[in-house]
Amino acid sequence: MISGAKAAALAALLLVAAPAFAADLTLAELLRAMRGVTQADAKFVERRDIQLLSVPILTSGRLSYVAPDRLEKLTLEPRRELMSVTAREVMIAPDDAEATVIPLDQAPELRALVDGLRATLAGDEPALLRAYDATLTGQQAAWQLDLVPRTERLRKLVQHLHIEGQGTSLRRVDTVDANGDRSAMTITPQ
Amino acid sequence: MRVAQLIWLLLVAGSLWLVAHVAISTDMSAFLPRNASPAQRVLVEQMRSGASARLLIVAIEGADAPVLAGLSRRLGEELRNAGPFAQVQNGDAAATARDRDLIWSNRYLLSPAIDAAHFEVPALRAALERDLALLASSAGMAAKSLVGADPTGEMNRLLPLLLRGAARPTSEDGVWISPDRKRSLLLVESKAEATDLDAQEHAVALIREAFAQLGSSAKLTVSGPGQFAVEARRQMKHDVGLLSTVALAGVTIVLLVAYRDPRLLFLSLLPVASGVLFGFAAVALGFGTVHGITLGFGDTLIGEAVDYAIYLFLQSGERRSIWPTLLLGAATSIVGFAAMLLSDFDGLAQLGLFTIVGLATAVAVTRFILRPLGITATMRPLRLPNFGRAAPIIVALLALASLAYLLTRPVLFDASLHSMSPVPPELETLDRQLRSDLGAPEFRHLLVLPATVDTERVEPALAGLVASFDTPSRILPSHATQLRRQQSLPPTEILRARFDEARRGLPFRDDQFEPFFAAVEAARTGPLLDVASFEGSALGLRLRGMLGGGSVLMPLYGVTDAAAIESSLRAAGIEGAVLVDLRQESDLLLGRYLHEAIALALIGGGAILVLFAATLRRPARIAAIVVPLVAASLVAAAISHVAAGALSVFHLFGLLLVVAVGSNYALFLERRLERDRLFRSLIVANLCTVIGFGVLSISSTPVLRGLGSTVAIGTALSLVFALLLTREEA
Repeated sequence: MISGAKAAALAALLLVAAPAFAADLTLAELLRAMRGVTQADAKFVERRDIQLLSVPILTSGRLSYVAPDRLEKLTLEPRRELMSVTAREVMIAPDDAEATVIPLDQAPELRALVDGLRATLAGDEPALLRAYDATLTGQQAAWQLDLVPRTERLRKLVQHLHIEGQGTSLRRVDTVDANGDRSAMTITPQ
Repeated sequence: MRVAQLIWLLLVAGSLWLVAHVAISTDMSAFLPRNASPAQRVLVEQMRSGASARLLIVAIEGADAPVLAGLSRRLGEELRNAGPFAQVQNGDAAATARDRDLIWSNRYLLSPAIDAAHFEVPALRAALERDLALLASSAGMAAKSLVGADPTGEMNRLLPLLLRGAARPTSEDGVWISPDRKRSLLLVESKAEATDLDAQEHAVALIREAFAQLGSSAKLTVSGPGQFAVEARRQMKHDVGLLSTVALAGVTIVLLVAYRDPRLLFLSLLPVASGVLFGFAAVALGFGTVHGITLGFGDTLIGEAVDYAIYLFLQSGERRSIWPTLLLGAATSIVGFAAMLLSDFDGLAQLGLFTIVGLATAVAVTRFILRPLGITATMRPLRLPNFGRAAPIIVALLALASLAYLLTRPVLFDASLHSMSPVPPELETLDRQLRSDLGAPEFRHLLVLPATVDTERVEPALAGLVASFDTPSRILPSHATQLRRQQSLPPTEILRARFDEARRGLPFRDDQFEPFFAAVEAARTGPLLDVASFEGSALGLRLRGMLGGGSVLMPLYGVTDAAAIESSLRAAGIEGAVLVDLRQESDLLLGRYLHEAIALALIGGGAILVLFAATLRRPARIAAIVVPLVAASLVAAAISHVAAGALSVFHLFGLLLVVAVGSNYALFLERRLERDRLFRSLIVANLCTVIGFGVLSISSTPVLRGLGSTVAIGTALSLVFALLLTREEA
């Protein structure tokens, strides 16, 4: 027989410990945690299946994030290329050609697309919810964030973004666009 | 009823009919010379209907940048659905949707890359390899939707066509905003010509209404040539309405005090009203239209015409008839203004005709309608003061000081557009600010080519000599070029065979390029493009702007060496090309306008001298008339110069009026025996003139202000000087 005092202590323990391993994570909690991250580096492998091609496109390289808004994707294979994203612009610099700079102010669709990832990393809730309906499932140890564009305009570019993560690190980003082409990026933190 | 009254009534009826039926023009071209050079004609055409003249800049301010962007987007949508706008640009992709469609569906006729080799196996293979690299890149997600229909990347090549000039405004959420993010900006092009003021007014009102319906507290500003003209017209109407009421009230009080008889007041206005009416009718008959400015300035002849009745009523009963003097005074004015009839500018010639007919009418009505009524106002004569011997010295000193001042001015006459412009300076400043917000380059040079010249040959001749240029052949390639491109497109079976070979070994699926084959086949067998194909698009509008009036107009940006361009065009064997520097042309034109006005004023002055010499004969009498007039004109010119910084055409016109009105004073005063009796009539006449014009000098329109103060000061001085210089003979 468990004494009343012991039962009370156990109940208290359960209550305190519950969020750590059992309770569902909320979007606000996730984004608050993400805001604590100032820098992150990772390797990625991306696989793109597109209708035009009979074989998938495989690329790999490194990702780096510096709070609040600088995101770099350095593709090493099959061809070296640096893409950097800030709150204001996207720059794509292939190794063998001139860099293209796209100011995001002039490309609102691209901004929304970029914001899906950038706002998640920065924990920028207003920016995220401006463009997307967000659904978060899972616990802190393994969460899934599903983002669906709010506007028809944006859904013509991307149907669905699916982000998986552990704690504050992203593990997978899947993208499905309007004609069913998909890309799957697997991320390994360094 | 007398014959004179019958004739007068018939003329009034006829003139009223003309007033009701003749259009009042506000077209600036009336103030441009009749035998204009081709370059000047281009300038006038640009001012009237050029795209930049029809452009309104709309600014929204007073909210956060995202709110301003949203308002701009919604206002743009509203205006695009409204009728009177040819295009509404605010950076929103929706504004260029139709143009994108046109370029996309005609890419194989428009792209300069299309030739026979472009669809041979090696070129196709190279294009597919580029596509593959593109798909694998970070831009791949955006590019893949185009690859299936446009594997050779023609659309990418043609996208620069959508840029207007070199303008790259900053953006917020995809729509244009000022660099300080305080104003969102729209460019609205009205379909109506810039000089169609009613249509412009309607367009501006529509923009304001559409904005009001958005229910925002932000502030809307509309700027641009059309808005300026509308605003200037409104301001002038307001001024003329208010000021003429004030002037009429002042003149009425003066005349009532002088006459003590309301009947005479009414009769005094009869010659004036008839003069304005017949002057209007004469211009309508002679020119077909009456310019608004003519009407505005012509009305100022009231200042002189009202004097005739005053002289009649206040001086009758004298021993000698007033008529020889009055007729000579009127003849002086008519001779002075007759020089303007010679003008090459319709505007000046209209002013001349209006004034001459108006004054002749006023004299005739006074002589043949009013005099037979036999009415005189009773009044006691005033003693003319005797100013002694110092007076001539004072007048001479004032005149010489004024002359010295005028001769030492670095800028005596301002011939710039600014001096003619009815636009208040603060509106001009705002417009310049908005234009720089938009990063809109001011294009200054236009290359004018005969319609027969193939503009595709012009393009290489311009390479390296200008920063950029627009040409119709970029939007609509020549028939020959389109045909050559069309004929270089292979039939579907051949294209498929070559494409399959080019694709060998690459991971492209074979069923993904049907849109490409269909598009090439459609271009190969479809019609070629003509001007009508671009109907309803911004490209079409740009095209029509360049293909106006039997010649081709190419805007050139960043011209540094006009001579080099001309010689390069000659070397390329291009005949009949004229490079027009719009700013220089307009300066030249306005300079010519001013020089002609000065020359005509001098001719008019000379003619008046000849008239005096012929009628007065004795040098002493001539001097008694001319000296006070010259002195008054010099002092009035100096005072106007001090007030305005420089003299303009309108000051000159004012000085001519000073001579016309002032000569009457001098002529009457010169009749030595009766001048004591005349004193009061002259004072009354001058008071009316000073009130009439003095009121104009508080107008908010710079042009009216200059004219009003010059005439008010000048006529008052004419009278004072004439009085000072006339001494009783012992």
